[in-house]
Amino acid sequence: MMGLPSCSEVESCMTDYMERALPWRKRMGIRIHLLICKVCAGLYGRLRTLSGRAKDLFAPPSPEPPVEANAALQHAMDLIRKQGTNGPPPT
Amino acid sequence: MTDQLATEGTEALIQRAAAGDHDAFQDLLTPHLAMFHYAVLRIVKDPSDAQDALQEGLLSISMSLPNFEGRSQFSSWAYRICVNAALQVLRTRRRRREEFMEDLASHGEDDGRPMEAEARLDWSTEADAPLHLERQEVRMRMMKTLDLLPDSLRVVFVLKDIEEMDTQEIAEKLDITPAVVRQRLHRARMFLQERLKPVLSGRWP
Ligand SMILES: [Zn+2]
Repeated sequence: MMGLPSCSEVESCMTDYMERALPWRKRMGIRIHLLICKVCAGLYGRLRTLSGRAKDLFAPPSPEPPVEANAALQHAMDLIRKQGTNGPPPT
Repeated sequence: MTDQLATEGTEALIQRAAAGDHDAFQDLLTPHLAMFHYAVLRIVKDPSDAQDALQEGLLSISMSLPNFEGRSQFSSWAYRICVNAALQVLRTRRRRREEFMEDLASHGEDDGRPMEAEARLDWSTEADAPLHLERQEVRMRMMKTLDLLPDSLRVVFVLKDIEEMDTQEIAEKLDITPAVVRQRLHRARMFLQERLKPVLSGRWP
């Protein structure tokens, strides 16, 4: 039987595995390893949760724009008004 | 208000803004401002760089608005422009830093900035901490944990896992190979999963 990858090999390949960037044989080795190794399966679960829920996990803490955002808009508006950059300048 | 009414309202605002109505432009952007700001902040990390990036993004939106064809949603289109502005600020910042540190630039990959061990928020040592934190504070801490990553790793993570761009597109934007994208993504994910164990294991309000 072909040798299964070690825990550290599995760990280092996990993103490539998730991205389906591994050759078939290596991929199968990792799949089998994940079935029998709780530690790596736990890590795999956390990485999948992190990747799958990142949009939600790192969502803005508040729906209100912070001061810097309003300042950026005000500065942009000042420049736009001065230069008339959005669309053709009003006649 | 129904979605359709909202869409019609947005379309009218886009038309007025593209024709040079500045108030319409401001009204068009205001509802998305927090989201755009947060997107650039996640990429550039520094609040004053984020303000610059957002301002550049808003100016680009203003200039490109007459060419907006409405094939995608306005918010996604404008969001992408802000993300590009943030990447541009990051590139300029890196170039500036490289000019100063040319002879020290032997680290390559990580722009020479370490993941400060002393500054890290190791949630794994206080496993139940999130249970006692307000949701808002949890989010702030998530953001701070993300900030501990060096630029090169954080940007890849943000573009791939938060902005959901594909690997090839990220490689092109950052001028690196897809294999390097995956390598950096892996290091970023490993770093974050280690520190966010309680959150990722479901112990989160
Ligand atoms: Zn294992």
